[in-house]
Amino acid sequence: MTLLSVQNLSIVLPVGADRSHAVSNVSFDVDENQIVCLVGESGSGKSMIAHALLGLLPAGIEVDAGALMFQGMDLARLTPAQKRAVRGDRISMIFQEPLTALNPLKRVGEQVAEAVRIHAGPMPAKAVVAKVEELFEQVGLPDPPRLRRAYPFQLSGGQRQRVMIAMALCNNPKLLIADEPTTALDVTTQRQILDLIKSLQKTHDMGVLFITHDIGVVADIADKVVVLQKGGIVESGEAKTVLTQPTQPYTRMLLDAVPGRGAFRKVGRSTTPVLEVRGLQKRFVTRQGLFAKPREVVAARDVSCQLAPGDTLAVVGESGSGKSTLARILLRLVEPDAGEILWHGASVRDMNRKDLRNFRRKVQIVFQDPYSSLDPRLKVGESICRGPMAFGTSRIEAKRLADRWLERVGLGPQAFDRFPHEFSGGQRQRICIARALALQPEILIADEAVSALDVSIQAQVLDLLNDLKVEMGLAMIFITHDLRVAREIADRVLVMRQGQIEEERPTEELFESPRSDYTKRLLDAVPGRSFFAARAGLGVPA
Amino acid sequence: MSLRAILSRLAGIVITIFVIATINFVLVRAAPGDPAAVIAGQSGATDEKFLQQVRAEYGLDKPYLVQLGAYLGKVATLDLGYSYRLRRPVKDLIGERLGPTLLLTLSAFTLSLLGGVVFGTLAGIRHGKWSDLAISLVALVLYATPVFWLGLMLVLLFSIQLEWLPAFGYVDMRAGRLGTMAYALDVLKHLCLPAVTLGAIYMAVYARLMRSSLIEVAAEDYIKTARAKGLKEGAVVRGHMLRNASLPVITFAGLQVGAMIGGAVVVETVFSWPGLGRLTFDAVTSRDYPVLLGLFLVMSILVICVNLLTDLIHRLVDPRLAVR
Amino acid sequence: MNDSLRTFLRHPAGTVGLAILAVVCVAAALAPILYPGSPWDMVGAPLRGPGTLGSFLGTDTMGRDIASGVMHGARVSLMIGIASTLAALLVGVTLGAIAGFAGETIDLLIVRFIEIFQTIPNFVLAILLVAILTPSIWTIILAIGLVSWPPLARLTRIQVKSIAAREFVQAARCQGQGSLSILLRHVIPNAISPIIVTGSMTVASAILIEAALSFMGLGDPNYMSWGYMIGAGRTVIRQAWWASVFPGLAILLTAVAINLIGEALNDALNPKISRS
Repeated sequence: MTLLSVQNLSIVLPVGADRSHAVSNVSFDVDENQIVCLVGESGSGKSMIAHALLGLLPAGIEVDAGALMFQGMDLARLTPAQKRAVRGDRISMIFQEPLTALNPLKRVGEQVAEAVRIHAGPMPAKAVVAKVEELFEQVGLPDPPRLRRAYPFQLSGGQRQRVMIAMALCNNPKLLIADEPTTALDVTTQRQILDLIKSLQKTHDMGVLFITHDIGVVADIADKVVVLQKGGIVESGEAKTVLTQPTQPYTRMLLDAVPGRGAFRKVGRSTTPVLEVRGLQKRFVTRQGLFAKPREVVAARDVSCQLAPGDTLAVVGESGSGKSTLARILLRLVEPDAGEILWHGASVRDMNRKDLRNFRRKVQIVFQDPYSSLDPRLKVGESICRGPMAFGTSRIEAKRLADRWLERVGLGPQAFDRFPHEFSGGQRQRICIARALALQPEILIADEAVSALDVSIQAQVLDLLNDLKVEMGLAMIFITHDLRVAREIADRVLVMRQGQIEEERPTEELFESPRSDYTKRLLDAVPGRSFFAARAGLGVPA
Repeated sequence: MSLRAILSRLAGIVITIFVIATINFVLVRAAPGDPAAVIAGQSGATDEKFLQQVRAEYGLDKPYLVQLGAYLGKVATLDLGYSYRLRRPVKDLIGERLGPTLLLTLSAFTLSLLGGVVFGTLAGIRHGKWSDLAISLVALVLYATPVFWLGLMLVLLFSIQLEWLPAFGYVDMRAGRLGTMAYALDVLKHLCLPAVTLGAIYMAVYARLMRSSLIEVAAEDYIKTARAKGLKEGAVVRGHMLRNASLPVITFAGLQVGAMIGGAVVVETVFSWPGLGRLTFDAVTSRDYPVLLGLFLVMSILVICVNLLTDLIHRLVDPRLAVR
Repeated sequence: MNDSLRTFLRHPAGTVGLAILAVVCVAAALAPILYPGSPWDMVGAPLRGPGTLGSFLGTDTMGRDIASGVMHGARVSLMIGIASTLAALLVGVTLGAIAGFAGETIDLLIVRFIEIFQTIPNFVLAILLVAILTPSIWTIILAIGLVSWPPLARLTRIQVKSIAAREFVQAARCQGQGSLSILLRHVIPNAISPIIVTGSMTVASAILIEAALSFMGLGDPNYMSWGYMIGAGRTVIRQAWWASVFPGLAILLTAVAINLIGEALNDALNPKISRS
């Protein structure tokens, strides 16, 4: 039976936005006891639809046409009091970032209890506590009586999202709206939360509207899927049908853009390494005061690895694994406590200022956040020129070089005189690549360089990097949290966890027969793994 | 708060006090002319014999480091020197003026914080409406008003024109005879104008801060969560915005205590309030440096104490600090 | 920068502020022309009300012309406000930039130093400084500068620290650019806007401190200032309200104007560009 019926929904944006409507003419249904995924890239309007359902659209943005029929009422036309009666009761919602979605100054149990009390009417305090603890039990939080009294900052990301889910479930909602609930989480945690939502959906007979950008997640949990692009529906239907026999080119492109499905890369024969790391150690100690106890985080514990010319090494790990610190240590942006870094056999740690400059010229880096890695006050061409000019290239020559590189990364020389804010995330990342390569490096370090990008853009940037690598004979260190990206681009993969190397193997071996339990868990957690394996015809049953 | 944190705090306080005392010491030596004359002040008796006596007492003939050591030792034993002009130990002079100043600053502090939070909240939740504009405008003007002038204008209005409140002083001579209750009431009547004067300026500061902080908090995700629970708007403001938004205000109020004590100096001068500020004015007028130096030290210590208090409040409001 | 200028000029608060400040500046510039005599000279009977012939804002207890005092006072207020802010900027920005860009130990030391200075009641320190060093324009500027730098240092430190941690700074380092060049070309230009805004507001607070100092009798005895006039008019407020009201209004308007300009600058220089 239909639970929610979105009919011809249009959401109007304020004057001056990049388009007139966030969403136009969107219709789909959510049945009872069903998971419907809204999937789309950034700017598709998927989140707006979710917010419109609960009347939580930001000021200036409103529903201007269509109906949101839920149990015989139109959600778009409720009075404020009626809206409040529905919110958190029959329809509840969980959000992307569980840290910011919880009030930092209130105990998590109290925040859940509040949701219980609003809709249940007067209730003895003891009963509320019992209810909260029961909910915590249900969402798999350990030791509910203790955790109930914790503050959000004392919980892990996964635990916080469980609290959010407990809060959403407390009044047995008919419909749960989940807005990218796993995007901010590590991959293994994401897997747990996905499993939890799926099982709770069954036990509570809920309809779930699940918003995501990751088609792998769709493959894992959706009964039905609605594909959105720029505020309109591209394709919708049963998940199985849409995913296996997409009729629209956009859907096909989304599926094809998911990295890590092609043949494994051939491992090059081992030669003398360009870069070698031995026994790297790094602890971060933060002092809070004269006598306060310092806090300690281990970022590298006895890390050793090698990089051969023309090779690509992927360093994979969850947050806090020390993978990004490793990149910074290699460039001596962060000084290690102990260990050796050898560049063609020369110790990087013993280099004087001049040698270090020459070393850094040969080892360039592209960062994760395309918004903070370009100086906002500098024309992008200028940013590229600065490097070669620092090494004595004349201004005219540097400008010519910058033009050539802008052309090569697909932007064209007319980009030279524009400022970073005029470019999209993907374009900025291309500029960063141009900036790095203009110095003719031997090694390129990519620190989560494609993580902030939409999947279609991600595929393009990965392709570009691959081409350039071959063209220039670059060796690459690719730091990523995403095993699919690693599989796509790397010859060898190094898995890190809490500053230690779990496993380092050629990509194919690691994916086909992982040795460490942790690697296995990581691999199992990759969303849509079995679906894509089946799709690629590799014989793993879907 | 762990023992380590407490120790760390205490060490910080001791260091601060000694740095301030050192500033005092350096200032006297940096003054043009003979330090002995500076200490003696324009006490009338600036003959050589008297200066000799001062020099001997302060060890001014010894090396600077020895002098500094001696001075710090005196500070540590709460010996703040002697006012040759008033012929009394500075400690006593300050001691008898401390009460009125504490009364004035604490009332003004409370008034400004409460008023600032209330008005700032009103403006913040009605962001962009006329009441926000009105509050913001008044705050903007108050923020730019010289505090002594505001005091005079209030006197002009409430004492001279309307004759509601006394223009100056701490208590009427007659009130002392009428019993404790009447005495307290009379002090309260005298307190009104000075406390409002001093409080209003800082109220404006805190209201502006509270307003912008509230607008920022209103955009946080957890406010969306609260609404998604089905909470009423009033409950969202009370339960989730107020406490969070007042955190930066409390921090800032702590930082402003020093400035507020400076304001008290001027306000006490305007209203002839018999506190440390009035004593400062008198000491400035008569160039009584030992008193000024002692006042500076004591007021700094006052600031440190209030900072400790705001820190404590901060810890009560923000659990993230309490755990550390 | 052109965009910023346009935003600033379109800002209603900014234009009002600029207009008021322009009036104050004109008053300061015209003072010696309109009132060539010393503002300390007696021009008529004491305590004459405003509007009377020859003294349209009235006279004070000594028969001095209030209007002349207010105009001459503008010179002193603006001069001291700007000079002491520049002094505070010099100390604050230098210390803040060093703390933000240098290593942990230096940073910790400077932060402690700033904290101590923030604990000290700044007005009381200013009183002490001026009283001991004897009041003059220069000691007043020195004293106000010395008590106004800590907020600027804090802000600069935080700004520099946050910009220096941004990835484009690390990228510049990897490009082979030197530390000083990075600080001057990348960090400071990106960190400077809020410092300019706070600096402009510091002028207003400096003017207020100067007024309070001269009110306490610690002004330069050679120059007529607004604070002194209020202090002198205070005792006769029952008989001659004009002696203290007009100089106070002058201070108030000037400070309001500067704060309005600061707010407009803030909106013009720190637009909240959304990232989406």
